[in-house]
Amino acid sequence: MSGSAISLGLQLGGGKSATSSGRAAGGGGALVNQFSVDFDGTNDFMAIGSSYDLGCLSLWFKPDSTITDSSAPKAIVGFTGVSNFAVFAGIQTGSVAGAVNNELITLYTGDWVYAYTSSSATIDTNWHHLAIRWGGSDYEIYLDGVQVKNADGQVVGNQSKAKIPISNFNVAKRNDNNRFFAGLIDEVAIWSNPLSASDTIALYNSGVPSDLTDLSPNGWWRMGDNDGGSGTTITDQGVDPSGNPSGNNGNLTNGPTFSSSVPS
Amino acid sequence: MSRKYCIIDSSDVENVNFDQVLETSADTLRFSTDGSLTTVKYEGAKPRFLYGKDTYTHSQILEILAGSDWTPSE
Repeated sequence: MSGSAISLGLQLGGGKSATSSGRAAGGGGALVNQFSVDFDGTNDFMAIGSSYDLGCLSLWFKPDSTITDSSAPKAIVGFTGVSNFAVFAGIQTGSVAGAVNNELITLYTGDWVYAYTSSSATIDTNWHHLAIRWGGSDYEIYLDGVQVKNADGQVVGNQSKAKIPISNFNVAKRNDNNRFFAGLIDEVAIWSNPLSASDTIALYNSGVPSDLTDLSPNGWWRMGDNDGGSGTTITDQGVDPSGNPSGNNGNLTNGPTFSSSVPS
Repeated sequence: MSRKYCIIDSSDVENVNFDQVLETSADTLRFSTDGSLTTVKYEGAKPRFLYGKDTYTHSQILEILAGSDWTPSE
């Protein structure tokens, strides 16, 4: 889908009533978004467990505390990546320590670290959009629609940078059952094939999540919308390569709660 | 309703009634780095099996869990 299609959808979608799927009637970019999920940072998470190629990932997050380069590391998502350190893979905030310094956001694949680093910038406690994209020769990190990845380093092995397969996908914890994220997370989506750079930037949409249906995410968890903001199942709105529902529902584990705070 | 948190010995997990805490099951608990302790949380009345255990607020338990006993260094 092109960026122009997103713009068209926004024009059509505003003010429409919601369908049972949570999508604005008439389709398009506007999205009825009433819920996010609040993780307390002690032991709760969303278990998905599915496998993908990490082409592109998009989510919104609202940390409980400001993120600096000295913040304790927290995993917004965790997955099993590659190499003997695969269990430590994921996307984290704060000081991960290792191949780069002054990390604010880090994608760790198991063999490579890709990071947004700064000794002076911070990420505040407002809602932020985060996207990861495989750009063909490198992973890119987008924060609020801006490509911010500015450092990388090889942790183990001698493999070249590559788009990696991931498995055992979880939200709000690392797969060694550690580094639990404290804060809100909303609209998590993943694509095995990367979006274009322009489509990835457009996901930010001036701070308001847009309808991803036309971008055909392979996994899309709306964090309460489509599920009435209750229960422990987060229904996967993604589609497989054939266009059929992916069906990889998330399972809210150890008591995360729904919140009415959403990016807006 | 505010949540309360307790730390229990791992050997006491078999006594946890998972209908009375917010954890999903014994398989999803978080353990200390040496495996000897775990945490549970609840809302409302303190479950009977937690009587005698110290109770912590959210901010207090986060501070405890940030320590090296719970968060391994790498």
